[in-house]
Amino acid sequence: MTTPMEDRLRQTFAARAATVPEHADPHAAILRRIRRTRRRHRTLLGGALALTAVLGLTAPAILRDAALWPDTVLVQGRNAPDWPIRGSLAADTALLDAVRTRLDDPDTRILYAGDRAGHRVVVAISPRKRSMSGALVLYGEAGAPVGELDEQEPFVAGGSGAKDSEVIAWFSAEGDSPLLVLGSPRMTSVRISPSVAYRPDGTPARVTRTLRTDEGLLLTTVPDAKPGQAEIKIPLWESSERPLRLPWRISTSHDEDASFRADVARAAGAATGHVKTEQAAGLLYSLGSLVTPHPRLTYRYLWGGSLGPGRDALIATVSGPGTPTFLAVQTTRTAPDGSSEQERLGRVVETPDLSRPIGWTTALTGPRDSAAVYVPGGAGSRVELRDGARTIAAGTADATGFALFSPGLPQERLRACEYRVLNAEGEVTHRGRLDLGDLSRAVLGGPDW
Amino acid sequence: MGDDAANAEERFRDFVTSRWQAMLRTAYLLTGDHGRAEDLLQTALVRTHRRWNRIDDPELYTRRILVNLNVSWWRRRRFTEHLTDKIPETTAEDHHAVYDTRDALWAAVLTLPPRMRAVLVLRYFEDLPEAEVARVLDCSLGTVKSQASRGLDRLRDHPGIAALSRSETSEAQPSGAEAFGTGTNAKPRKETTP
Repeated sequence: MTTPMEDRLRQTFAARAATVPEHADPHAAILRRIRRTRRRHRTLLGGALALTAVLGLTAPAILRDAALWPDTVLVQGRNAPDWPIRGSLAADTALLDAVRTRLDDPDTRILYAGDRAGHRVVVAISPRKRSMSGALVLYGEAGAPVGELDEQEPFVAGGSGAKDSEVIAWFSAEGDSPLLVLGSPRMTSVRISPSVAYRPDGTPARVTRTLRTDEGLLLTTVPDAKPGQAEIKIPLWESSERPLRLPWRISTSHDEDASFRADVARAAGAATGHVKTEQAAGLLYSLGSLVTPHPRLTYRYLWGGSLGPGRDALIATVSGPGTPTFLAVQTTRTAPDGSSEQERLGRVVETPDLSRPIGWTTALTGPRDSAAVYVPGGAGSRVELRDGARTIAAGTADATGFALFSPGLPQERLRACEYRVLNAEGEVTHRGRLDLGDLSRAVLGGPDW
Repeated sequence: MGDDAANAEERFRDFVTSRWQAMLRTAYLLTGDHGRAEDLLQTALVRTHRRWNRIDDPELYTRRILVNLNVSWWRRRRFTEHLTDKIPETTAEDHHAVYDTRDALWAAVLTLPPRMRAVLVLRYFEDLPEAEVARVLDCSLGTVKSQASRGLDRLRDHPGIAALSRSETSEAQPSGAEAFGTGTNAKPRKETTP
């Protein structure tokens, strides 16, 4: 049921959207923009490599592989430009001028400049900087001239949007894995969770530690950070339920990728039904937090099939070295233009019993949420959905053991329903709930740590 | 260029061509400015192109960048505006328009914080389910629900909307029920944070 306000909002949006003019050739415009961006990158890269040749330094990571830098950028908060300049070099006007000269931007706002723990750090916001956040970090050995500092693009994040909620954070997985977090002067500590450990029952537990800041700055190393797992939290935030995952670059060669995809195709071919290789690989790419590179994952595809036009699902078990095994259900909706979206559910399975039926719900099958049940080896089995004592849907599993229902219930209620598998004599051989949880949460745990 | 690269470029071209107009509409509703909407979308698509072979859901990825870039711009607007001698385009286009209900509502929408506005655009223009909005914004379902609820509350409480509501109430609903969803579905007024 919609309210009049919601209806008017829809009408207003539709009317406004109708004023957007057509573009004759948007792709050509994008290509021009890409060429401009590449020229700018080449210019920067040329400068960095020249520096490498003269000083024997390694090129800044961001320039060495800019195309792989993850866009895990969150930008909230609004007060960083108002922070006072801090750090042991805050009064070193020659150094600050050198920073502005290097950035070719007299309006650069320097937020921090100092030598700490053997490193020189400058954090600045430059209006001309065309990074997503406008912020940048210059980083190198203590005492190094500005020209020898590596330029890094941080991710800038904020919490509740309240005053002092913004932080500027930078992390590099290279070397000793430095982590820099600069917040308002009121920020006194940062919580770090470098990795996830698993309890004996396979549920994830966060390894955490809390570090104090100095004048709102934390500069530390996180050598035990694991790709896709490491997160930070800012206790200052009023609403700190949402941790920030540290960005990570994972690079594989074309040959490695081709070999991996061939392995995935073979594994997909062994499943019941039909598993599309691209979708099978997509599931594994999403599980890089278990282990990297992806070929180190252990996986098995159990079933794959269609949930209707443009909708597919697959079921797999996946584990990394030393991790529990996870049951994963991925539903994919593919749009007519070829773009797709995924919904990934799953849970840990202590002892993978591949003969047990699996039930789940999905919102990707259309306007109504659907319930799906897979019965291994259960072609022709009768499957029922029960809402309390009431049978709300019933059907027969197809030749692959799969049954799909759209009983017209909202997802929250559907998830609370039970499914039952019956044999030819009408006896219930298996019952379970449709509330398969979120796969990411099963692997990484929730935000409460 | 190898076959794979050529195919990837072809798929990217198809993606841009087929989805441009729809995404531009979303970008416009997020920004309220035609020029900046196109600039925002181009920037987002350049990033999408950069990672084209590594993302399995380009539309979700592009939408997410659109929202984040817009929030970023909004946050930095105060800091950057003094650097240009060009007056930033705001909602001036509304000044000479007929100030009817939609204009009032649109003007009110433009006063919302960018992530709140994004929730409303994705929910009520794109018609995405709340769970899908949460995926695009990379936040919890609870956040989407609360942002949508608070956003609607703020629109109802906006002076322009409240005035229209009173006017419509006196003309059409003498019983006292308000026009903008404050009848049987009314929610209590809440304190909201800008």
